[in-house]
Amino acid sequence: MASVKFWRSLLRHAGAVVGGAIVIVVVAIALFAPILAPYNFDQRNIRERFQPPSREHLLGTDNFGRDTLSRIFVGARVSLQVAVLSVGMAALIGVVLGALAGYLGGLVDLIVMRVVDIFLAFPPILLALMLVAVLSPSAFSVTVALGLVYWTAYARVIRSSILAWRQEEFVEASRALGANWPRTLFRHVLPNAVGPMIVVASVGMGSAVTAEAALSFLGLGVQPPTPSWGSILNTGLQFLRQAPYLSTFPGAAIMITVLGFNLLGDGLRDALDPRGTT
Amino acid sequence: MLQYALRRLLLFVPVVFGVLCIVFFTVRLVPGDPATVLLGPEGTDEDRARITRLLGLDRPLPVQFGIYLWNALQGDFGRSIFLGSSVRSLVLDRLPATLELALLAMFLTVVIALPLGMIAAVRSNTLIDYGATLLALLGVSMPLFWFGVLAILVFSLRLEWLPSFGRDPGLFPAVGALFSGGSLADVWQALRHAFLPSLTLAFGAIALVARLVRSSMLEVLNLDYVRTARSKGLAERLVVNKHAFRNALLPVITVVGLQFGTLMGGAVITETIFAWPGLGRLVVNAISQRDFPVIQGSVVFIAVAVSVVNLLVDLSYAVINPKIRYG
Amino acid sequence: MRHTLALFALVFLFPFALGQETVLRAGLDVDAGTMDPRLARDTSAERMQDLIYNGLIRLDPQVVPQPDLALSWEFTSDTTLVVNLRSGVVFHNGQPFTAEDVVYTYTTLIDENFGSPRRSLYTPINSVEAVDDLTVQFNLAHPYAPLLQYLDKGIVPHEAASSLGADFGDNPIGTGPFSLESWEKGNRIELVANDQYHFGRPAIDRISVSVIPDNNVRLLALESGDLDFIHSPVPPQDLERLRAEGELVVEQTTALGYTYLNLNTANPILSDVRVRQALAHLSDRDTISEVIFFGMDQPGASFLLPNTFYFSDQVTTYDYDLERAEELLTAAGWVDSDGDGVRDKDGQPLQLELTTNIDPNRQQILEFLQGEWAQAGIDASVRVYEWPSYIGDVIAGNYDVGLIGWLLLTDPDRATFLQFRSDGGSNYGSYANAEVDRLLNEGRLVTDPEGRKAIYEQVAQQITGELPYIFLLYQGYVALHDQALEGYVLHPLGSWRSFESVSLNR
Repeated sequence: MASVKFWRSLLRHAGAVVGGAIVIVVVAIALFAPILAPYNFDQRNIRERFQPPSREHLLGTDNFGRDTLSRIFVGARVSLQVAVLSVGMAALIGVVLGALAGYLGGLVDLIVMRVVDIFLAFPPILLALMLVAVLSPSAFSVTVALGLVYWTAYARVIRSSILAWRQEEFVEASRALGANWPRTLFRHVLPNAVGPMIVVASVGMGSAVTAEAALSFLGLGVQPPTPSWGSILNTGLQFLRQAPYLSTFPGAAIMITVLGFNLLGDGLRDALDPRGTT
Repeated sequence: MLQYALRRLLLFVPVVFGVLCIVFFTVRLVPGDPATVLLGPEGTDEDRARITRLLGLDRPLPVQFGIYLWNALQGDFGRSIFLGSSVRSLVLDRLPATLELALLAMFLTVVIALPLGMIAAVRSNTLIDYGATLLALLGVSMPLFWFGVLAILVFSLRLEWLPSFGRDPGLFPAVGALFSGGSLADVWQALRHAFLPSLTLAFGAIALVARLVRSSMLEVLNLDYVRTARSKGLAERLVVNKHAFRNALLPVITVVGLQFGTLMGGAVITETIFAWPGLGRLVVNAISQRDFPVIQGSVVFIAVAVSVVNLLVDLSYAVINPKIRYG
Repeated sequence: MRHTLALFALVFLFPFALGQETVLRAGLDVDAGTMDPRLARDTSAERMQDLIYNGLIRLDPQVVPQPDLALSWEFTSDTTLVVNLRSGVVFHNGQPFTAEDVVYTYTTLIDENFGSPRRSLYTPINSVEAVDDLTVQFNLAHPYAPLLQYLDKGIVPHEAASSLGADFGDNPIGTGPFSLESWEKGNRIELVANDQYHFGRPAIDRISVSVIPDNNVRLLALESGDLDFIHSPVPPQDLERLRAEGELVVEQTTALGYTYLNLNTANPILSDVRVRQALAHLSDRDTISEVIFFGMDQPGASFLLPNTFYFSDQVTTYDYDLERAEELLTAAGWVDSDGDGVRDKDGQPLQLELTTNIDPNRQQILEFLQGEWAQAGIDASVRVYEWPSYIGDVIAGNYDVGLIGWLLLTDPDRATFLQFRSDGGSNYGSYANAEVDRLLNEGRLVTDPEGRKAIYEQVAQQITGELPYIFLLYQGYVALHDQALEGYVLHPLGSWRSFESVSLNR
């Protein structure tokens, strides 16, 4: 997959480069948040609350006088962690079920695809809302809920790449040779499906970040004092009129990050697409 | 084709049943029960037990499920524990508001996304393209609720152009009233109320569709017959309008149709912000009160509606493009 | 040009201005659950009760009972209350109001199968009987001092209510200043002036109530001129700005409610009164009031509410005092023996979970307390979740420290009887104190106000000494409205009754 041609076409894609750069920066911020943050994210100073952006506090301070920049840095960690783990979980469920469906076919395929239909029938945020309510709000619940909501896309990708691959002759050959199917799955199917999966995952990361924010708005997000972008934005909106910077910066962080993942996803799609339309 | 449609319809039954199962058991797994909410913090244990018995919630879950299913099959989805009314009438009362919002959102999506995507495709890899793409992408990146509140702040409070909340009098009723002596002013009023919520709702879809239009236009523009048309010296505008656009439209229609599910999800948040009396708010309220029959009825209704639209989109796609193989 | 404009105004605006009815547009955070006053459980249902019904009495802004449908009343014995009713009052459906309607209302209210959420307030009533058409008699099981305070329940018409049954909640009929015209559930309530209203037809023709769940959006709607009136809950952080701008009228008073930390005394850590006192010293009420509520809710000290007859400051208060708190914790055996910053005892760390329901201000209180308590070596975690799950956990005793509030406390009995008696129905934290039990029972029996006041002062002293509750705030009540609204009277219960005599001078 990681062919020279792929990288060349990816690096020529302006969107992919910008998106990739954004993603790298955001991931770096998340990884090194404790070092990069100028203050402790929960360090309060009531006397210095609602400070507009200044040299001491580049993005201002919040309702408890905490440094917004530091909170956004640490929030990047929480939000990305939720996104990565939920996308990972969705991919895992999707791969397992999609592989079962594609490989075993018949009744198993029918059942799995109906389960996919069932999950697709729910508006995502509604299902996530119910699941978080069951699990009681926390970063963990949000992760699990989003994982359970977004797995269907991966199942479809895997299933269709198995079906496509199965039609090719050499599979029959490898089957005749008695190769066990988990092995063929990992050897032959997955490598082919990785491309489309990465595209789905890249866009899915963006969806997970916004979905986390939406759940925060509905009151079912990550619990304090741990900041997530969604919770910082939602708290900031309470003070929209007197301190607009409290919602502007976390909102912008979400927008830029999601934009990055989408641009990267677009670029990957184009680079992986043999027709190369761009 | 007919056979395919029938088969899809048949497969619909297990999907609806599955949705019902998930909703039914999920809401009962959520901690907190309706009797506690009904009686509040001053209720006694005996009162709570009595109400629970009265609501039939003391029976084993499978029995409750069986009873619910049996009644549902006969078209009885129960009564709201908190609102008193039948779930069916509640859902049907709220449906037009949500439908109105979703349709307007789809309209806005098409009206905004099509030109945006086309310009981007025709001027591909120019600044215009990048600008349009960026604009589209920003839409999908901005949290709905943030956009909604900002929109009210700007358009209602600062500019005083549009009303800040609510549905008044409702587009469907206003249009309907035109036939019985209603005034156009009411329709205008309804549109003014619906504009911000439907724009908020459409924001994400606009981005998605614009990008799709762009890529599918690009694909078509590169196809042989378009190239031929071009080489024959046809004017660029004619090529774009007549040949490319029409063919690029097909997948776009599909995706716009498939956005219905996403729009229903977005309605949950949009309706809460704009105090729009639709299904989304009904569900959110019902969840927050543990109004089991309403949650079940409305979520199943939404799920079925989404599946039906998805099915219709599939079928229409099959009709438009006979080459498709029915999986 | 000017002439054209004037002509335009004359032709187009004048007819409208002439024919238009006066509409008061109000905003609420949640819809009323029912319009049956007997089943009212939310504040919005109480507001509808204010407009659609009259009670036997109404509570004035000083929370003193005033005649409403009752003309006068008299305790003929310790357990017998005779009430004389107003004559010539008619319900919205034209039926005359009689003693039978009072009997019916209160009989259903105490019927356990009727399911009133406030039934526990009326259980000392044995029976209600009609002496004649305009006289009713309440027979009590035992002397019950708070009774009069609770007789503000809206009176429903016997015939219509019993024939409508459960549907009465959707089709309310009362004697009040307004009657329900239409109700689009979860969205809008339209009420019209009652032409036959006994105390005179209201000056406004109609009240249009919109349900807007988001606090910020509701305020934006008022500021945009789409509403004329909103009231608590309002975002406290906006009040200062609104006062400074001066475009809206901002009115504020103390409400009949308090916000407190419910300490679960069944929890081994919290069963030690020294730990509870330490927590009280760590919970800086002044800062919470100033920083989170911008003075809207005032620092609280006990359940005896300011601006009521029963208020007393002769209670134990706990000022913010980190040192004192640390001493108390150490004395209770909680020391940081392993140097990890968290106190421990017998190998157990000092861990507590702070919980509350989803509410931006309450969440901020917990977030604030968590940081404060950590300074004294307490490892406090925060969980904010949905009301049904939360209150279910609290009722089941499944919590450590819960942040809650009590509302509509029209009598000190209401704030204590269920809460602090060892077998009280709302004593979630298993607090037990024989002296408090005795006093609370006595408080219901003693009818002399001064005597009662002394009793509840003693209860308050016991409670603030032993701290099953840490009283954080006296809740504030805020009404925000357009300058054009005149005659509105602020009421600590948030009552809308004064809409019967307001005018809108646009």
